[in-house]
Amino acid sequence: MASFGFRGTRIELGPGESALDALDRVGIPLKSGCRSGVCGACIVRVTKGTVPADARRGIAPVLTAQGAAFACCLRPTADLELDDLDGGLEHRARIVALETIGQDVLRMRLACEGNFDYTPGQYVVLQRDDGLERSYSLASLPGDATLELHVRRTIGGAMSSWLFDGARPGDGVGLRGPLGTCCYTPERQDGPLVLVGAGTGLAPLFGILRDALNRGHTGPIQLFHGARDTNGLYYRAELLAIASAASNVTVRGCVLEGPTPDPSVRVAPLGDAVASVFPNLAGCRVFLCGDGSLVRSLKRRFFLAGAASRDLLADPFDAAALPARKIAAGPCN
Amino acid sequence: MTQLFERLGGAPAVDAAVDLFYRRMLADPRVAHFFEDTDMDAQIAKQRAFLTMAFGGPHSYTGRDMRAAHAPLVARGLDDLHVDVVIEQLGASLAELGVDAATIAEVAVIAESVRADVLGR
Repeated sequence: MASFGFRGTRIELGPGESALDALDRVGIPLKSGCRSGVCGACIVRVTKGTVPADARRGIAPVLTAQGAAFACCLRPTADLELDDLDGGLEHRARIVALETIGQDVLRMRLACEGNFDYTPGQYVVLQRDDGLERSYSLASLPGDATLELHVRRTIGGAMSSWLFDGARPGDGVGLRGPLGTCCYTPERQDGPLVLVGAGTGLAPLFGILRDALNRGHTGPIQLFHGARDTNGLYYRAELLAIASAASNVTVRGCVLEGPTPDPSVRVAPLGDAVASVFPNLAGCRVFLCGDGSLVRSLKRRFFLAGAASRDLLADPFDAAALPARKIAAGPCN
Repeated sequence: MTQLFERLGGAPAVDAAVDLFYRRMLADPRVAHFFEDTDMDAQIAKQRAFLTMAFGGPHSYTGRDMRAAHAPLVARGLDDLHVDVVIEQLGASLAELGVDAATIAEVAVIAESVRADVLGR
């Protein structure tokens, strides 16, 4: 009978037992829910061995590429090594550059020790050496020399204050990741993509947009960047450069407070700006990134406007907390 | 897999129905307030699990699970009317997908079977 290692223990599987059954039997706690390969509570990572197809049906491709599997459906016929979904993803990195790229927006470039493979749109947990941790989405592409993160200065923010005022190139940090599933997948490549970002929510979209183009997306891509006022619409030149080089890309800025010297920037809330172009979002794949409560409310609004739940990928930024991650895409979305 | 689940089309049928059903719930003023502060992903996963059960598919719900999960809602006024709405909207979603009335009735019987546990009776 097959066995698996998990959290330092080797467990033999009994006949017909799933990994979850076996863990329950030996008293190792693993969260579970439906126990039927639907809810995603018991997803683990297979770090050595092959994942049987029926143990990963419905899990986001970004996660299955990292070995994700439902413990409740995992009945392997050969030995495996398992880890928690976000276990064993610790890295060390060095700050290479810190540059202001907009009002209260800092671009941080990091060089990771060793190989760091990720899909654009994923995020990392940045760890200062005293243990302070915050999550930031990746704005870079895996082929780039460094990892790129965008940081907003938050008033009284412990991590952002350090990054803006204390951190220096050469400083070492810890990184956990990559985590998250707000990523482009190369299917339905002639379909419409809608990228919606508030403030530094542009960071993962900047990676996702270029990733989609690099992977041959031919359908129309519309990117909406929202900010309080025009000072908050950073990276405008970079976005317009991408739009002028790719005929299927349109970028739109919108602000809550005018005036806007640029006539192509609307004064409108982000959700309204999207709704005026897409009153119905059926058939669109939507990527939604930025402030957590705005993202959650727009996600609901776009769902009610016809976007399929599996086509609504969100990266909600929550203050001083790790963002809830979406475990599964596709059937379990 | 039960015969009913197979007849309905299995997991792909759940996929097709869950968005329709959940949109109906969010847009129905009789029940929408129960979903106000909920995380959409978590809710979709729960609805997917519920539909799988109602379609005769695999699940591990116990009466205690249903009771415990819905107790906070019962405290907020969840009652027979709301369970009626769920069964009604489930039927309407299936009708929209072209499922025949007899099969819808079978699904309704399964959904009905958890009423007492959901309402903590």
